[in-house]
Order: sequence, then structure tokens, then C-alpha cells
Amino acid sequence: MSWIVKDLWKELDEHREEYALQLSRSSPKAFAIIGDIAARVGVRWGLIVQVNLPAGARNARESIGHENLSLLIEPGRKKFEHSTESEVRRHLEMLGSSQLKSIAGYEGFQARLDSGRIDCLPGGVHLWCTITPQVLDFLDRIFTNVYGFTAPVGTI
Amino acid sequence: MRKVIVAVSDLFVQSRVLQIAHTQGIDAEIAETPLNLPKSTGQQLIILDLDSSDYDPYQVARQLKALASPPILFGFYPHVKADLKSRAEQVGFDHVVTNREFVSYLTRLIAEWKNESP
Repeated sequence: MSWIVKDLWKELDEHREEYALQLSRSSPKAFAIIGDIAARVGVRWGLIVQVNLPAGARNARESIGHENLSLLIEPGRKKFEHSTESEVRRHLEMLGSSQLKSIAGYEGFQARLDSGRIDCLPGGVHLWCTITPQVLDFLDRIFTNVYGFTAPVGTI
Repeated sequence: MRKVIVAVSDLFVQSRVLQIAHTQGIDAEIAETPLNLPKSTGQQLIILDLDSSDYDPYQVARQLKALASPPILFGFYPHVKADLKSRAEQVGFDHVVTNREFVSYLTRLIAEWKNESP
């Protein structure tokens, strides 16, 4: 999974001129361009990639794509298919979360980290945190073990 | 030769342990159930899941600690089940950590262990 995030970062860098000025003016056009870039990356790898821009996000211009990211395999899925909820709990605890909240109607958790929050659901993950090397490592493991997502040869 | 043995069926934990051990240059292997644990355990660090539904880690620990050359036992548990810690310590686990502490503690432990005299 880290290869998809890194691909997104590369695409955002390569197309920065197309949205940087608009983003500095908080123009909706910038958000549309960034959304299109994320969507293209998602199509390339077979999942939904969303760069979220929540109101009041800090340092949005510098950190775009490096936090507030959603990686969705099957939005709306309610139960984990390849793993149990207790295994998912363990994965999140091993990432460093000591505060996990259940999510009504779904398996999975909202996990509080020092750098923000991860929502880990049967359909994918929402990363409301800084995407550190540890988070990338977590994504690689969880997408393989929990979502059954296979890395293309040579990507990790 | 020193070796880390992970007796945990969770692939995530297995891959974590193998990565930590290999990074430190220590041999590691997977025993998916304690039935596969070796009878000679000197110079071994065995990792057991204190919250396992596949086996009884406390019974396994008692058996391993009764051997002539017992291994170092390392157990981990979810912090919401704090009672598992005292149960583990009672049966002789040498190291007991929460899931959250698992990676950093094991990394430090293996680094120290490989530098200790046999």
C-alpha cells in the first residue's frame, strides 16, 4: 500500500504547478485538480484514493497528501473479510494507539495516535494523521493481511 | 546459536518479529502452534500471545520453564486485559508487554540480548 501513497506523492509533486497558485487562494479549482490526481492514482491501482481537505486543516499547502488521506477498497463494507476485528485491534495497538473507539454499525475502530487518528474500517482506512514511515509500514501490513490486497511484484 | 521463535498465528505479528530479528542479525522462525516448539530451548527467545484462542500460553509457559535449559519467554497482551500480565508473570514469563509496547520493547530486548555473553 505504501507504493500507492508514494505514487500519489509523486503525482502531486509533478502536477504541483497546476494547483499551487489556486490552492494558495483556497480556490475550489485547486481542490478539484487535487481530487482528479488522487482519483487517477486510485484507478491505476484498483481502489479509491481521496485527498481530504477538512476545514481548518493546518499547513494544508505543505502537507497535502501527507495527511488526511482515504484509501478505500470497498466503501460500505461492514465486516472484515480477511481478518478478525481483534486482529485489527492488535495491529492498531502495535502502531502505537492506546485509545480505540468502536464505530457504530461497522466492525473496526477509530484509533487515536500521537500524530492524529486512523479510522480503520472493513472497507478501507481514513488517515487523519501524519503519514509517517511507521504509518506506511502499517498500511503495507494491514492491506495485505486485513484487506487481502496483493502488492504488484517489485513494489515493496 | 541464539534464535527467536514466534508461536503466534497472526501473520502481522509474525512478519513484525521476523523483520525485527533479521534487522538485528538474529535467526528467527515461526512455530504456528506451541506443539511445534523445539524440545531443546537453550539460547532461545520464545514469543507467545497471552490472549491466544489457539493455545493456552500459561500452560505452555509452565512446560517450557520446567525444561533443563529454559528459554526466555516474551508475552504480549491488549492493554484492556491487564489481568493477563499478572497471570503471565506468575507462570514465569520474563518479559510481558502491551501490544502498544511490543515493537519498541522487542527491538530493544533483542539488541541487548545479542550483545550479552552466552
